[in-house]
Amino acid sequence: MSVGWPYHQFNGRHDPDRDKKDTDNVATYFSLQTGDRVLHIGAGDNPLPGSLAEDIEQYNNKNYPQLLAAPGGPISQYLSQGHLFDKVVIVNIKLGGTKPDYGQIFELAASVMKSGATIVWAAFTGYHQSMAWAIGHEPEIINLGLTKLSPTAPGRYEDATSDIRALPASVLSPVRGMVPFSNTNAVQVVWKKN
Amino acid sequence: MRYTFDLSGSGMQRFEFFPEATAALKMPAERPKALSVLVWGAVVHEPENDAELCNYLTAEVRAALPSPVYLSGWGVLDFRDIRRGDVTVSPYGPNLLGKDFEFLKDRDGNTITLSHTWPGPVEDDVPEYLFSMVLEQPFGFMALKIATPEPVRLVVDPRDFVTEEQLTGNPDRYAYDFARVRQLQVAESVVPGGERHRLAAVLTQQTIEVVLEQKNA
Repeated sequence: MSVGWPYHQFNGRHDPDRDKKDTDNVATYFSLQTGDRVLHIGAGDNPLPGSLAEDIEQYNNKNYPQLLAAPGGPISQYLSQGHLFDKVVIVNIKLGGTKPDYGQIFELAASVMKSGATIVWAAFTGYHQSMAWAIGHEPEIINLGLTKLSPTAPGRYEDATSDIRALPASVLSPVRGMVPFSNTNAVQVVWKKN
Repeated sequence: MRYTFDLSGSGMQRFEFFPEATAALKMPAERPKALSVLVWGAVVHEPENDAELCNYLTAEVRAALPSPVYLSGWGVLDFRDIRRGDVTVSPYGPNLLGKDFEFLKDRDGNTITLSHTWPGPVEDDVPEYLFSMVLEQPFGFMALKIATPEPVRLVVDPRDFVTEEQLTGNPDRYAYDFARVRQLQVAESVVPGGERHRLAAVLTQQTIEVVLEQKNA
């Protein structure tokens, strides 16, 4: 879901599988496992182990289950009929634009979640734009049919769980190329689908 | 020209330090009472909401708003009355081209980290600030945590701000220069009688002190 680095930047790298597009002109290259219970949206190069990773860096590991859809676009059409997840994980997601609307990511996640499933929304710092949005727009998230599970206090986040804090991280900078960083101090909010 | 941002409370949320910002500082061994950190490349989101700042931006940048702006110059991050803190640095491996970094790993493949703590009492009413950015020396990803009851300030020359379009269009001119050629020239120009070879020998600390001195003048 790394907006700002669209598919066309990969033109020139030849991968016949990866270059396939569906009827909506969306690049698709993934292998869905029917047992997938956890979806990692915007995984980039760093998929959460055991998850179906969406928007993984598609040349990183062709064998890892992965899914690439148009940024912000629906993904249910790429899943088997009625496939819903128990958990959706979103870590350090970054949208472009002057006033990015992270509500679209919550909406996207909610569309493929079971009732009672959780969204773990995490960032390497509480000042990250996505986290600032999440704790500053809680009424909008509630309107999507979600309930904040933890921390319950409005406008607050908490320390991320150890699996998130152990997750490798990297970001593509227009100036510096790929730059790794650490999730050691990551924070999170957890929401539940009603 | 100086402009001071207050990063207390929600003030930090206007800023993005990683991945574009680079910090330079001499790491204190003991907990300092105050600390000044040079920062190049902080990004300010929605500057159009800060009417006073807009007054000081260049006409070219103002014309490009709304847009995030990038600090193409040294700013000074100022901490006062430091109660405690710690710093962790994960060094990047040597890289000739200054792009696409990787962490240094030990022989078992684990990321090497360097850390230092400035102990002090944990006080619930004293906020803790976490700054994540690239540290110039040792070159790596830095997480700097400082607890202070005083406002944290970032002092900049607002004429140093450029748009993201300017930055990406001409990174050699606006982005941080890892080869330090441009920074060296800046330092040389502000040291009376400064000799390039002498500056090169004591580059980091000398540059930090010189630029801090200039910024505080």
